[in-house]
Amino acid sequence: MKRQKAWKVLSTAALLAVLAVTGCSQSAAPPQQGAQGGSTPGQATQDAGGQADMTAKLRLNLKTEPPSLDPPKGFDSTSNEVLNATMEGLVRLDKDHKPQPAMAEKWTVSEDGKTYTFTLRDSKWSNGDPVTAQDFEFAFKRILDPNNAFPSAFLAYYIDGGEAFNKGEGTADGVKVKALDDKTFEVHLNAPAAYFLHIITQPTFFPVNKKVVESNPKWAENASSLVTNGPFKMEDWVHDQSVKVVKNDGYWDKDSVKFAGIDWVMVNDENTQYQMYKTSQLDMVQTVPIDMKKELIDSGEAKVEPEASIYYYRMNTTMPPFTNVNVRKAFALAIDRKTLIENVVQGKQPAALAHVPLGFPEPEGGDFREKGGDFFKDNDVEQAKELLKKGMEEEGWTTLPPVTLTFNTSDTHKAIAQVLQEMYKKNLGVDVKLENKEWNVFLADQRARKLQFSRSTIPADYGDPVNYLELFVTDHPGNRINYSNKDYDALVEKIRNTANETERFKLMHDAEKIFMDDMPLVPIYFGTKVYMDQSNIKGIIRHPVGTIDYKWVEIGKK
Amino acid sequence: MSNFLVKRVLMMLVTLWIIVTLTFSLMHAIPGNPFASESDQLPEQILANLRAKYHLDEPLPVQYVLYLKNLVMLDLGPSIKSDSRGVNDMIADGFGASAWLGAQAIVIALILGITFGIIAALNRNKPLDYIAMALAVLGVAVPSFIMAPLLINFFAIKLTIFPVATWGTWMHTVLPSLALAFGPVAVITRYMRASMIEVMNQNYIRTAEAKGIPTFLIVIRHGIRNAILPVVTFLGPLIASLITGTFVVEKIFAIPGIGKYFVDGIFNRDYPVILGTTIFYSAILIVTIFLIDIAYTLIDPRIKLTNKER
Repeated sequence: MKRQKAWKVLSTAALLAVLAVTGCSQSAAPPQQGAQGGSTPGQATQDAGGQADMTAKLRLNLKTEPPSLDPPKGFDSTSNEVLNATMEGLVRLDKDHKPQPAMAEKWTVSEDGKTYTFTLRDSKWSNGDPVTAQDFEFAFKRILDPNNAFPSAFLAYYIDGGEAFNKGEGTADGVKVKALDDKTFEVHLNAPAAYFLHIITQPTFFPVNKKVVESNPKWAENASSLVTNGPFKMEDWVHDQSVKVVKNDGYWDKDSVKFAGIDWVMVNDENTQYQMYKTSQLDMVQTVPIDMKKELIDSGEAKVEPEASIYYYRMNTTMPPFTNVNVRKAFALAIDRKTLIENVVQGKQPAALAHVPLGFPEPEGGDFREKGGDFFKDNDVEQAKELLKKGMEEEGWTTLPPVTLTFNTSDTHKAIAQVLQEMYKKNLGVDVKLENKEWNVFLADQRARKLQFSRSTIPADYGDPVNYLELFVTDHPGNRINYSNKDYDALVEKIRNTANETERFKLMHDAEKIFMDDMPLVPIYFGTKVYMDQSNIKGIIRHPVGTIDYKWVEIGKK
Repeated sequence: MSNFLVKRVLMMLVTLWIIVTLTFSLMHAIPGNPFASESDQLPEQILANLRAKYHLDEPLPVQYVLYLKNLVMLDLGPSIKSDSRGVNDMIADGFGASAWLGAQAIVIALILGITFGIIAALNRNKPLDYIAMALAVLGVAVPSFIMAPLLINFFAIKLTIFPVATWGTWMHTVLPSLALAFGPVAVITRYMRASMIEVMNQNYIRTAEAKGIPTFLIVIRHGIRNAILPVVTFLGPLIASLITGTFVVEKIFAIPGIGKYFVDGIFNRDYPVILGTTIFYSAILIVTIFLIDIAYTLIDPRIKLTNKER
């Protein structure tokens, strides 16, 4: 088999010949495709009744080849976008970002918050097999199998016995997930985690067809062998070029799906993507060219929605001058985020004056961030100057130890760094040296805690504030600045073991306060998504945490 | 001759082996690893599992021998970033598109470059020469990432003759081929002009002129053949680089070629992709240079492949 592939590589002549033939034969097709905006079946049936065009297909841009369509393997937004359309887990996020019944019709949670019992509804795989609890048991254990080395396996560490199995210390049988019968699936957690339902909306936890996976280890590599259970099923996948899916009539909720399918192209150039959108070859774009961002937002053509992520600079707490808390605070207070965002970042981002981003709902309603409020004032130069003076006195410094600000190579990061440098010079009289590194080198150094003052963008891995709080527990791999506070560590541990949601959220606010009092970060802004939908497209759901969802889209007639 | 061929093939294999060894050691010398991501959650154990899966936990000499073993079987290994396909599949899937565009670009570059070069040489220091040379300077100076959007803007948006991007019909190949050819046209024009001027001053050309042979025929019969050697030399590396795809043009026109793997492979520290693309490119380059050497002897019988035959 391998040798056969190798020959394929070598036989350039054959490939060229094939291309020549197909190239020529297809050139007879209408040449002005660009002008007509591509051809979708939808445009042929303008006269169908009703508002939504049931025969239209959504034309989208995936940008790159999805790294993997094996659910726990493709731990990235590109793969997840396709997976969320073609497959479905026990629960799915609705338009208010709350988990709702999907493959599971209903579920019960035990008193101690540790045992979840799901009742599955009648639904079918795209090959006609019924989706069973055994498929889920198989899929969940598969996530954790150390031999599979799935990058997203850590998300399943909440399951009792999961971490041990993944670390090679336990067995598959030790993972406490069980199919009680064909329709009942039980999961035991090692600690109460109310956000477990949110976690399992992620593609990692989608079921896989046990029979298919066991008989064909390469099942997820091509359209023909992929077996799925979601609103759409795979029709065609040309690597590096396109993915096509069509409505799955075997899907339990097929009546909610009001269009015929999705055609993804893979165009990884911002300007080309924009041109294709402007010439109506794409129905939606998830990003806009940086130099046009402000203009497009101001004119209302591009829209902005919050995304749970934060852009910040980390201050290494064992490297002077950041060993002193007042100096750290001075650095956090001395910058004008509003100006920076309006002129450089330009995505209507909210200024970050705390650690946990927007997008995590409170148990009693409202947003965690809104309830927690700000911890300091933006651009508080007077206060910053005083804090810096106080900190230097405490340490007995007459001149501030040199500060080097490090970022990874990118135009935006560079522009932000230059503005920060200017603001520290102007507001604190501090000369900050700038240094940029290639992404992988940067990350290796930052992880090794070798950087003094360095940038990060942290997106949420799952829908709970503890996602951010736990990163700065002593010696967590996410804590790359030697930050250590015993009270904070104890509080995060307590949060992990608290079943009462109201209580837990109160503790999380307390933990964030301790953290912000130590101020090991310079928070800059909370993330947003800047996108454009064509006017006839309705119902694309963008979650602050979670994968974009096309299930409820309606394509109006132009 | 067959003796020469055996020697030459052996030399080519040794060259390739040196390239593999150098690339292997250089690529492992740069910091970073294929599993780095912004997400901080990956516990050490998962990273260890991943390393074990791709044999990155073995000592480097062991990895090196393992790689060479697979390479002998023509297996370039798996891609660490893209689970769906191995490096062999990636190259097999993408090479067709890259090679097709590259071949079209080379044909365009040769036809335009040689024509412009001759016109410039025959009209030395006259307006036509200046125009051709201005074009040549422009071609060298304007990078493809400027040229490509300009072409899109004019031919796809304004005139709507060609599609903006993506791949499918022959119409999709026109703009990227032009964008690719633009630079080489300029280089070939300059080479051709310089050597044509030299050739046209040779005695045998004067003799032909004195005999009253029309300029057109002189250029075709005696001029091009003698002036084209520098262009042929340039053609070797040009063919190799154009048919293995280019990062920028393929990105802008969304071509499913292999150009991006050369760059993304390094950014991702996707070791098998770095090695695989390097080997593939080197192999094509080495073979092209060999073919060009043979082409020399056909164009100019005075050039011999081996010393012995002298």
